[in-house]
Amino acid sequence: MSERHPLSETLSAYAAGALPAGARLVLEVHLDGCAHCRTEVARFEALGGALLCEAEPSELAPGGLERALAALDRPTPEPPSEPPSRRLTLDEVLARGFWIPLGPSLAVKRLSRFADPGERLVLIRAAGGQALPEHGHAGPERLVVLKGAFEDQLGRYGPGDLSERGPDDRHQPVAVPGETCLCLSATDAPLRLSGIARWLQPVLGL
Amino acid sequence: MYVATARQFLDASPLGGCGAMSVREPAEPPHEPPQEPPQEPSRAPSGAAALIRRIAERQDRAAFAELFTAFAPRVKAFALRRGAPAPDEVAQEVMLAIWRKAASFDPARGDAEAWIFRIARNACIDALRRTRGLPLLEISDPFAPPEPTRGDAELEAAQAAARVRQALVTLSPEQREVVRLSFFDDRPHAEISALLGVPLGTVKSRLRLAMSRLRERLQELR
Repeated sequence: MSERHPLSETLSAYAAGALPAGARLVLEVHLDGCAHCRTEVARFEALGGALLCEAEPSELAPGGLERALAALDRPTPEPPSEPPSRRLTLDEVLARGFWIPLGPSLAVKRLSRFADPGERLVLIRAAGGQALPEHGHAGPERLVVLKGAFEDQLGRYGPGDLSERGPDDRHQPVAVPGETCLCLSATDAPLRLSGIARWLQPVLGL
Repeated sequence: MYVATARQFLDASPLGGCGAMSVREPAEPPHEPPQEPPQEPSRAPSGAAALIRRIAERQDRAAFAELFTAFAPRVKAFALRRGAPAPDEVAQEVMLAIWRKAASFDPARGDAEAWIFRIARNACIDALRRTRGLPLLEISDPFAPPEPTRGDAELEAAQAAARVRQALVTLSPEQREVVRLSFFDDRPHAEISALLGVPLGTVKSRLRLAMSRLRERLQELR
């Protein structure tokens, strides 16, 4: 596949449930619009099903079946102990909190409270024509476009396109002129920023 | 390759399509000669799919009990390996979700075992997320309209499970082991290396070979 899709290993990790929370969110945005990758994920889930069938069973606590049978008729206790205030949609996230300006037409919003420990999850907003900070990565970065488009050395990325970069890649995405570009980015480790952003990094927690 | 026939499906083994049940060798050879895996989607219905259908159509508690016996102990094993808190509760939650969502199970989109795996995986993710105190961010329909799933893609998914099971059999025991430890148990490569007492490089190359072999088999049906 082209550069605009996740690597096969990443789709496999997603299907296995092995990706950290932030990367999973980035993947889900892409999968929402990409039938090809959904098919690939379904294949890995079939592998999961086959391995589940083969798994060595673990002895249940006594009375498990009776307990389950007794629960069948009870009304659905939708999702256990999840207060509605802790379920947020993207629109709600966009409407709340504050953007950290990194320049006149570039800002980020930290979403690390939705990510696993050690993971960075940020929304990046760049006006058309604006360059995002040039950066490398200590770990993999997965970035998906929500609105608008950006270009980097490898090509143009529009809504739903996913860019996956490894530790050795440095790239400088530029928002395509004419429309504000909104991206969601997850990294396993802090970005290696260049220039002024590097000095601000500890303060901003990027 | 062992293909469940309608006759075997009708006999007492409720989960003929699934290795979860101890597969009893038939006392006499089956009437039909062994078949090549079908190329068309005429896959023999797996036992689990039939049980889920019985739950969907008539809230069949006996069908639920059979599914529970086959899958709850394996879902618990999965939850244990994933480090989910209270694995017994995860198993309960998953089995109840199967009961409630049975009507939404669509065999055209994938097999029953993959569907159950998905529910179990998501339950573990959720249980771990709650433990860590992470709120839930739902990003649905960020841009409309989503590309519709191709019809043939769904057919492919429906056949994928049978292919996966066949492909797993063709792997060497060592390859199978690393696939299980990596994909199912979600263990890092270094841990697998320590566990099996083989060098890290060997773990990686075994896994790479095994996964590419599985992928090849899955893509043969294109």
